[in-house]
Amino acid sequence: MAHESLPQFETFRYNNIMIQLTDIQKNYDGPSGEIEILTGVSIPIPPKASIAITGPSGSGKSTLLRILAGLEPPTKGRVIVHNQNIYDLTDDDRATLRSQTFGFIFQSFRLFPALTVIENIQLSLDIKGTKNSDTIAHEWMENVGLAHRKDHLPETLSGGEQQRVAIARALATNPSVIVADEPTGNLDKKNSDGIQTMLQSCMEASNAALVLVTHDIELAKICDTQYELSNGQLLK
Amino acid sequence: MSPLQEKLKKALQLKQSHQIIIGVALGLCMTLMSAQRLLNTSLDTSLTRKSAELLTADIEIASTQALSTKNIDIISDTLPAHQSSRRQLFSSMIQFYGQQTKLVEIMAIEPNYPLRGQCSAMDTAGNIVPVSTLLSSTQNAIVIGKALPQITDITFGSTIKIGNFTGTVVGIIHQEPDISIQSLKLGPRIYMALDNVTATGFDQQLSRKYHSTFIAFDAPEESDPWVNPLSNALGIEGNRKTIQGSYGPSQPIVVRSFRDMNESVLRGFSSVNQFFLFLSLFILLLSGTAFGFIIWTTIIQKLPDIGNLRYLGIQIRQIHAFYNSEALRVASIATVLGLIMGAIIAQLCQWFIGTQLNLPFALITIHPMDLLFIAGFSIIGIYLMTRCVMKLTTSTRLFDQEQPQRASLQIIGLMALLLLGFMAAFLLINQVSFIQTLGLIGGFFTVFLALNGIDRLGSRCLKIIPTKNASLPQRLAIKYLSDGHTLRRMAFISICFSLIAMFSMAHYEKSLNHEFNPKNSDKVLPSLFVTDLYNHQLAEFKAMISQPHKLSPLSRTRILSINNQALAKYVEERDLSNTTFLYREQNLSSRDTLYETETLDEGEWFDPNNNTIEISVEERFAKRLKLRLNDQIQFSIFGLPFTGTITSFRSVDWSTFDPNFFMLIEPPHLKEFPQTWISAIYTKSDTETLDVQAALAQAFPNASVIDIQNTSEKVLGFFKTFIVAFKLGALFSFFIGGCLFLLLGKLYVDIRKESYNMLFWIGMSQRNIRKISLIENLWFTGMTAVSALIISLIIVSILFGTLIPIQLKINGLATGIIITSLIGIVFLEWKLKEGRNDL
Repeated sequence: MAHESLPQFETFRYNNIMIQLTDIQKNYDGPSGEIEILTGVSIPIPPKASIAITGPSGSGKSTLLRILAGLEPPTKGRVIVHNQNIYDLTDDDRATLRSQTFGFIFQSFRLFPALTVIENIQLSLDIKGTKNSDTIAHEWMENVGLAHRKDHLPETLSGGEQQRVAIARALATNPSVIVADEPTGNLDKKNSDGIQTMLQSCMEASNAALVLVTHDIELAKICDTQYELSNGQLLK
Repeated sequence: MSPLQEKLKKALQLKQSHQIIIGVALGLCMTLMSAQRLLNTSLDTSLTRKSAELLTADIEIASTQALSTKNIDIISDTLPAHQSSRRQLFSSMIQFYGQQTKLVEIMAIEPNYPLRGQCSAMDTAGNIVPVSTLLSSTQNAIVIGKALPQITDITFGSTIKIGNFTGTVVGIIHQEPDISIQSLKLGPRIYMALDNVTATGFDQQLSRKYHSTFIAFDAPEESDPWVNPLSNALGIEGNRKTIQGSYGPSQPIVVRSFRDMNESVLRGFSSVNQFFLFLSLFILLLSGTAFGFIIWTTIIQKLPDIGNLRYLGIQIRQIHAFYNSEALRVASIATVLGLIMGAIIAQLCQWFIGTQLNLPFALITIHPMDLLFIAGFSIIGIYLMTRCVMKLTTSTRLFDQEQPQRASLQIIGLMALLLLGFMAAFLLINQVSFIQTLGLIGGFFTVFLALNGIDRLGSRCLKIIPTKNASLPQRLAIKYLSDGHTLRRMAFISICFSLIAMFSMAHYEKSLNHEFNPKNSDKVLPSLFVTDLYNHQLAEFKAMISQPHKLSPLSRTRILSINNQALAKYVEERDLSNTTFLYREQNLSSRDTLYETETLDEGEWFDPNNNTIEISVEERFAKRLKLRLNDQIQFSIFGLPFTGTITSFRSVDWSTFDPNFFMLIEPPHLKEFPQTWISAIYTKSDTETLDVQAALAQAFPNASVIDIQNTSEKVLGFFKTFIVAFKLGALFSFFIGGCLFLLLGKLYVDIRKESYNMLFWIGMSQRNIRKISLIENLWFTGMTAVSALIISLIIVSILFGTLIPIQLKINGLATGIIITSLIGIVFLEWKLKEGRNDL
C-alpha cells in the first residue's frame, strides 16, 4: 500500500522556483451558462517561501487550492511541480506527489473521527511510506504538546487542540509545501494566536514553503508575499 | 495487514450494523435463489431416473373409455415385441361393516402390473410380496392402501363392497411405483383385479374412469422411436400429453412415454418453482435496493473522509479497492450462508415432493454449474453495484463536503438499470420467455419511474402549500420536506418497493382465501356432493332424499369447433395464449333459471320461443377462451354432434359449492344425450350427513358421495402451504423494509442534527424541534404507505385481470396493520425522545 515501489520525487528547483502555477483558468457550468472562477492566475512558489492568498468568500481560493493539490484539473493553464505539469501525470502519480510534496491544514481540521489522534498523524506518514512512522508521530505529538492525548479520539479534543494535531499531521511528513486553508478560521482569538505562533515556529524549523489562504489580513502578514484574489484574478 | 491498511480500514469501514443489514438482506436473497435453482436441477435429475417407474411402463396409452378392438390391433401391429398391461382407475364409494361408507380410489390391475417398478404389499404373515400375487391368491382378493386402516377399522380379512362386488382384504400396500393421477386424491387406494371390475355393475360408459394400457420393452429408451409412429397410427392430432388437455371425441386417446411423464411431473410442480422464482425476484429487488441504498448512504457519509484521504495522497484506486473488497467479503459470506440455507430448503422441498410422488428419500443433486451461477450472480452483482457507487468518490465536489447531487442522481439511475439488468438475466436464465421478462422488467421500471415522479410531485406540492396560518414547526417541516433530497427519494423508493411487495402479497392471499377457502363463506354450504348418478336412479334418489338438495344433469363432452372453425384456427384467430380450457373435457348442464347467487352480465337468458339452442357461459371461462355473444360452439357428446349459440354471460359464485357449470344449455336440448346427474345435499348435522352418505352408498354404489367438509380441508391443505409461503415472502419484505426504515430514521437524524441544534440555540424548544421531526416522519410514512398501497392495488388488479382470473379482494386488515405499525414506529420514536436532551 505504501508508495515505495513508485518513483520518489526529488526536490527540484527550476530557476529557484519549486512550484509554478501558470495562467490558471477555471470555469464551472452554472444554471445560466459557464461561470469563470479563476482567470489567468499565475503564482511562483519558490522553496521556503511564504505566500498568503487573501480574498472574500467565493473568490475562488478553495478552487485554487484544489488545482494546486492536483485534485481538480484547471480549464486552462499548468501547475508545474518538479519541472512537470502535474496534470500530465496519472491520477495515481498525482496522489503520490501529494503525499510526498504537500502538507494540508484546513479550517475544519479534517481529522478522521474513527482514528485516534496519533493514528491520524501516523496515517499521513504511512501513506508517504515512511518507515518509522510511530516514532515520528510520537515526536510530533510532543512538539504540539499533546502527547498525553495521543490515544484520544478527535471529537474529545477542543478546536485548538484538533488544529494542533492537524498541523502535526501536515508537517510530520516533512513536505516541500504546506498548504493552509483558513487555519484559524474556526478558532477563538486565544487559540487563533496560539496556532499562528505554532505555525510560524514550525515553518521556521522546516524547509517547507507555505501557501496560506485566508481572509484575515493580520494573519496574512506573517507571509513574505501577499496576493489578493478578487473576481477570479490575482492581484499582488 | 500493513499499518496503513489497518488505519484505512478504521477510517473507511462500513458500520457494523450496516454490514449486518446488507448481509442479512443478501443472505435471504441468496437462500431463495439457491433453493429455487438447486431444487429445479435436483428434481429434474431424480425424476429423469425415476420417470419410467412413475409411469410403471415405458409407454402409456390412456383414455377415458376402454380401448376399442380396432385400436388394440393398431397398437399390436405398430409396436415391435413388447409386454403390455392394463389398468383402470376410478373413484368409488365402498361399504364396510354394513353401514359404514368411504370414498376411495380404485386401482383395477392385471396380474403383470406394474411393468416397471415395484408394487408390493404386506400379507397376513407380514411378508412383503407383489400386489399382483396377492390379488391372484383368492377369487375376490383386494389390497388396501396404508391410509385406510389408519382412518377406519378395516384390516386383514375385512370385507368391502364396491358396487355389487365384495372383496376381502388380503394385504396392505407397502410400496407403490406410480404417482396419483389426480392432484387432489379424494380417498385412500384399493387394489383389485381388473377381471373383477365387471362384477361391480358400474356402467362402463357413464362412470368416470381412467383407462391405461401400459407397454414395456427391454429397456425404457427403446420406446423412444415408437411414440410418434404409435400416435400417428392411432390418429392422435397434435402433441398433447396430459389427460385434461389432450383427448376427447376428436382425440380419444393419448400416447405418452416415460419422458413425457417426467416433463408433466416437472410441469406439475412448476408452480412451486415459479413461486420460488418470483419470490426470489422480489427479494432480489428488495435486497438489491437495500444494498444500493446502504452502500450509497455509507459512501455519502464517508465522502469528507475520502476527500481528506485524497488530500493526504491516497490513490483513488486504493479507496475503490478497499470498498470493493469490503463488498466482496460481505457478499461472499452472505452467498455461502445463502447457499447452505438454500440447500437445506431445497432438500426439504425435495423430500416433501418425494413423499407426494412415492419417491424414496434422496439427497439433492448439487450441480457445480448451479453453485457457480448463484455465487457469480451474487458476487458480480454486488461488485458492479459497489463500482457504480464508487463513481461518487471521483467527484471533485466532495472536497468541499458537499453532497454531489447530480452525480448522486446519475448513480442512482445507473444502479436501478443494473438491478433491472440483473433481474432480466435472472429471469432469462430461469427460462422465463423474453416477452414475459420484458413485461416484468418494464413493469418494475414503470413502478420505479412512477415512484420518482410521485416523490418529485410531492415535493413540488409542498412548496405551494399556503403556510400562513401554520405553526412554526409545521412551516419548518414543510420546508424540509419540500427540498428534493436524493437521500429521501432513495429511501422513499426502497421502502415503497418493500411495502408494495407486502401489500400485493396481502391482497393476493386475501383473494386466494376468498376464492378457495369455503370456510370463509357466509353462505349455507352443502354437506355432500353426489356425482355419477344414472338416469334410472333419479326417481329413487328423489324419493330417498328428504333433505334440501339441488340436482343437475351432466353431459361430458369436448368442443369440436367454434363458428365451424377448427380449434387450431380459432386459437389463431382469437390469439388465444392458454388453450388448456379449450381442449379439456367439458361438463355441460341444463337448467331453466339462474341460481340466486348467479347474475347475468351480458346478453339475454334462455328464450323458449327462440329456435336456436342457447348457451349461457360463465364470464371468466368466456374471457379465458375469448368467447363472444352469438359464437356458435359445436360439441360432440359420445360421438353425437350438437351445436349451440352463446346468448349470455353470467357470473357464478363458486364458493357456494352448488352444482355450478361453465356452460349451461337451454333445456330440454341436453335431455337427448347420454348424461349422469350430480347433486348437492344440505344436511343439518354431522350425524345426518353420515347417515345420508351411508344410505346413498348402499343404494347407489356407482355414485361417488363426496363429503364437502373433508374435501375442503384437503383443498385447504394445499392452499395453506401457498399462504404460508406468501406470508414468509411478506415477512422477508417486511424485514428488509423495516431495516431500511430504521436506517433512514438514523440517517435523517444525522442530517438534521446540525439544523436542529441551531434551532435550539436560537430559542426553539426541544418539544417543537421534535414536532418538526414528527411531522416530517408522519408525512413521509403516510406518503410512502399510500403510494405503495395504490401501486400494489394497480399491480394486483392488472395481475388478476390478465394472468390469474380470480376476484380481487383487498386485505384491509393487513393493510391496516402495516400502516398502523409504520405510524406506531414514528410515534414510538417521538415518545422515546421525550425528555432526552441530546440534540
